[in-house]
Amino acid sequence: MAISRARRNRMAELGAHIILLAFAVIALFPVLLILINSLKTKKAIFRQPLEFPTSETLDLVGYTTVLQQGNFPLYFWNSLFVTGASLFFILLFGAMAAFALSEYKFRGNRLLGLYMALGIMIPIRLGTVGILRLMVTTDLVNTHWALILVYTAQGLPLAIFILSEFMSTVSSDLKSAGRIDGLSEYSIFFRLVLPLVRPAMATVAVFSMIPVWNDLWFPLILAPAEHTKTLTLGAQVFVGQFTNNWNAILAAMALAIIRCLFFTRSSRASSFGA
Amino acid sequence: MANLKISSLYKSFGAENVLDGIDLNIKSGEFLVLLGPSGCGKSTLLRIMAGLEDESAGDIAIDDKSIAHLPPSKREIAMVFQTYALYPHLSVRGNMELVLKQAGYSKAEIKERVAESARALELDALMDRKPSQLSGGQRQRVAIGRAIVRDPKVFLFDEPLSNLDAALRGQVRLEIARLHQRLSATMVYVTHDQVEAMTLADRIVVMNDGEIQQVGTPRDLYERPANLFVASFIGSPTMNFLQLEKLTENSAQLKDSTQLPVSNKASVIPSNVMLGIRPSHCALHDKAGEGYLKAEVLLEEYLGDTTYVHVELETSEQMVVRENPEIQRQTGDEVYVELGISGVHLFNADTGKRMEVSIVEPETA
Repeated sequence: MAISRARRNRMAELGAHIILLAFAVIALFPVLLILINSLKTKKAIFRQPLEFPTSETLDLVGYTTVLQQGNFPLYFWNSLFVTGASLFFILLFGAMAAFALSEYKFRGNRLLGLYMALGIMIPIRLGTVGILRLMVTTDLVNTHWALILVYTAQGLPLAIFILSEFMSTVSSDLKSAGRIDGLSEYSIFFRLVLPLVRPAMATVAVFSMIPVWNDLWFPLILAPAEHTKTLTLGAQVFVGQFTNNWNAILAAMALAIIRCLFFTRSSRASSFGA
Repeated sequence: MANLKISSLYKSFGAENVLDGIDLNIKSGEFLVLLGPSGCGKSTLLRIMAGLEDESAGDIAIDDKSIAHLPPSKREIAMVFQTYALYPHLSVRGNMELVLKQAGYSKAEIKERVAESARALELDALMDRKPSQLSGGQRQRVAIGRAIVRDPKVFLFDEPLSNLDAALRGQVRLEIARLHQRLSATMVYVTHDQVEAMTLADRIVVMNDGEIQQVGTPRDLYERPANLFVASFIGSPTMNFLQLEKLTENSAQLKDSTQLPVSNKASVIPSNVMLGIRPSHCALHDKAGEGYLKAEVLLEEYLGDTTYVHVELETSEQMVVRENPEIQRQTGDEVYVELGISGVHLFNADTGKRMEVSIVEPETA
């Protein structure tokens, strides 16, 4: 009896794993396709798209083009810097605003919270013209800060919305104890509350990062100069109106994917650590 | 050691008055308990003392110096919370050290003070653990330790035992009582549990609806409740109340026209009077007798060392009577309730106020 139950459990486990594996294969297949095709000649890409590169079809021309033609290490750094800085400011100011909204009772508190939440519903791109004008007058066009400011504004509403929910669950006795022990409001925020909402911070970080990293619109409009180009904008060089340089596009995508894996790993680590 | 004085303190949230003119004088070294049902304003009063909440009007002074304008950390008070409120990322030692570090003590002094408090509360073995690795009772001990290290003028306790299970509650209660004996510090303790209040307090402040109902020693409150609220709030099971038909200068007549030989000193006798008597001052008899009230048994609660019998009088008023557990009664049994005259309280039912009574000695002809 006990044995058969154990066996049944193992069967159920196996079934679950088969289903999960199937999903994983479906999800990873396009990624694999990009990776293997980025290593092949152009002809091989179109003739045998599903084949692994052989000694005849192996060709690193995509990567050499990418690394030589565009200044990809720089684009990469631009993307990394802009995303990293935006993320930092989104989390910092988002958490601070969320703390203020959930902790302090003041006139217009709710209205302010609602106003912040409105940003989730209204896409920031609607304001592109205004933003561009603002950037021109403040002389920020073609700087990293143009993008960082816009992305911070873009990410804040969701961050505030999620974090203020979490902040209100932090024990008020704990904050009171901190005040009696002589901690400043800043210490209470940074030393007591932030460590307790770390899981929520990790969630917000992941949600905010993806649209920033993938964005093409604002880099194209606000910072298209060579020295501020981001990876997504840089890769556009190979997308022509009539012909695409598939080798280079696939290589650029492969490079971006590899970096993404690193990012996911680090954010997973932070959410488990909480 | 310090006295704490609260004068005409008001607190309102919007239109709602949470505290309605509180005057309180807490003596140096006194253990004062704020007791009342939830929502009576006792916790708000404590939080205002701590400076965590602002008063709408009034003043608070420690040793005759106003502290109303000071932030919590400058008031020289310490607070122990219901949820312990230990810093989760710090060890027990870190929790106890934090306040001293903030206050800028030297390393040597911090070490000495923490070690002393740890020894007093037997926390030595736990010093390097995180709060999550402690049991509820241990956490509350650490919270108390964190309060002691700072050597405050006044200790504030906000329902510190409410999150503990029954067995631990008794144990920690004892520890708090011993702590008060040893430190002889001024302590203010908020609770809704009358057992905690009765056992710990030098004086109890009974609160209801943002007002102080009565201030007195546990014995005062139990034996001479100032009004109907205190009478019904203190004591378990609660006091029995019977409506009087008529009150004269030296007799009280119940609804079923039983006469009781109690006299009162009221200059004007109110028309609407309530008689109160505790279950322990009543007795049950099988046979009728002079001044006994006829009743029917509704329910018997057997508690081992005592039994509470719920009965219904002919006037359909209900009473609880304490009885020897050896006697067993059945639902529907006819019994006769004797009211112990020495335990009778009278209250003006309109104002709720207590009326002074005395027993009329039977005339010896």
